[in-house]
Amino acid sequence: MLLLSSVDLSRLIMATAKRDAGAFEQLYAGSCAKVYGVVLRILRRHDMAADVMEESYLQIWQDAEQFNPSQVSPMAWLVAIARRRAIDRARDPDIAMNDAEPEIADAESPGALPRREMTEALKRLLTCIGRLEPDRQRMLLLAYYGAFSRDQLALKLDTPSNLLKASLRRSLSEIEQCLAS
Amino acid sequence: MPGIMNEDDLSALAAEYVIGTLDPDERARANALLDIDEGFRALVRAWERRLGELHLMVEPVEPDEQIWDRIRGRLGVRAPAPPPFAPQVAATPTLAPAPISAPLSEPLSASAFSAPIAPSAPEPGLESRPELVPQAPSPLSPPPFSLPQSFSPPPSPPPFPQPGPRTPEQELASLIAEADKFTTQLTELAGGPARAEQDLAPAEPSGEAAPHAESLLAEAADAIAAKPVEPEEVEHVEEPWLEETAAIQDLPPPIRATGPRRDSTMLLSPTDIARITVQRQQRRIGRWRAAALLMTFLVLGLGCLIAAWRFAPDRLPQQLQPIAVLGLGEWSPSERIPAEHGTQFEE
Repeated sequence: MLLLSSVDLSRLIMATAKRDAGAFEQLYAGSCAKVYGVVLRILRRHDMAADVMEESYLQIWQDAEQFNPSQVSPMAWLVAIARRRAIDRARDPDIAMNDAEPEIADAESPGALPRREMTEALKRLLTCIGRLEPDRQRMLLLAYYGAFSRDQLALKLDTPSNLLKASLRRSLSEIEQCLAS
Repeated sequence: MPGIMNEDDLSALAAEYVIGTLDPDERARANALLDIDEGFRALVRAWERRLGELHLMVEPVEPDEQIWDRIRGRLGVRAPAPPPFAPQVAATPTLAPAPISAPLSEPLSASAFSAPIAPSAPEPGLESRPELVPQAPSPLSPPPFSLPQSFSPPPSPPPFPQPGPRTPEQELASLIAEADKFTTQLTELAGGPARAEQDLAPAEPSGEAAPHAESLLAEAADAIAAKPVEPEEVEHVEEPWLEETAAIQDLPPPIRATGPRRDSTMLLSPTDIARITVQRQQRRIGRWRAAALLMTFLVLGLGCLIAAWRFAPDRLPQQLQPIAVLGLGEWSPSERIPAEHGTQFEE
């Protein structure tokens, strides 16, 4: 598995913006495993995840010039594009995502990340998430990593959907304030 | 969603969009808004920045190598911009997980085993940065949140009671593990097994959580190892799914559906188009040339005839005499009609 540093990834994205196909190939090789991990976690099916990977990297190829390394880390930028598409796919009414697919979710459960690999932004974010009540922490992380819809989440957490919505929005708003303070 | 949304509503919508909890209708509307509203786009980007680093906690999984081939095949062949989030061609409902068939499960299990050990090299440049220069905004470090020291790496202890100091990563790992476990067990609950009940209770934030995560990973590994010999009941569930998967795989993938059309358009390369245009022009010019030649001969022929009438009328055969040609049947130059008597034309 080839993983590149943020510096390298940023350089490759910017070269991709100049239609450098070689750089794009390196960018793919250096980021696909991470992006695929995120997408597969959401879709939990290899065939759908593969489609989303293809669409996402084509969009990355097209939108590379919009990347601004001073605003966002390159991997977060790449993941955000793929995540959007993966969730869109998961919400596609024509594709009924069924919850009875626990195997991939199990296999992909995120492990503890060694502290030295944490970015400053992640530490800040975790600090803020840690300030929420435990129930809300779990709700938030379950929502983010599994990309469940509000109804699915309400079912899982055995909470009325409207309460969950309020709780979710309050949590997100608190995180926003915490990060901005 | 009310018709008119204020700034807070929009921000909440953006946050839920990014975290992924909008239901399909809301998400479709948010996607439409993204297309037209720069302000909403900015809100979404801000939330993607805020939550974006959570991806670091996800294990990398090596994708199938064919994916790159497919991407490379479509580079440059692509139409300007496909509708950003156009719904894909419908597939049949998915009922059960993938890893029962060998080709699909293989990359998964491989990565699941290697990932806990391997994923670490990612960002050597960033590893040390937080410790050394926590405040310095580097162009490549994650977003500048302009946070004061209160968010320096050792976090203030969270408000809920805890046995001992725990680092954020332990927290998150255990939370995620719990979340996953919760998911799994709720799924099981839906399926029947009794084990789920104990886990419905909110998990206590205790020191147990970290070991929890490890045992969960071990469980997961076991589950993968045991997967090929699943109990029958699982197979019952999966059989219809397998058929459907087969059906899905028989269909051309949605992306391919548009491929050949684009390819055929691409066959008309600029040189081809130029060649066709030239051919068409040449044909047109040829027709004009033939017409011009014909007209020339006609003019020449008429000219000769007129010259003959003028200079050597008696050498012309009878059929080419003006009388015959112009249809002046009864007229003849010799039969002159005498002018009336008394007129000025009288001879």
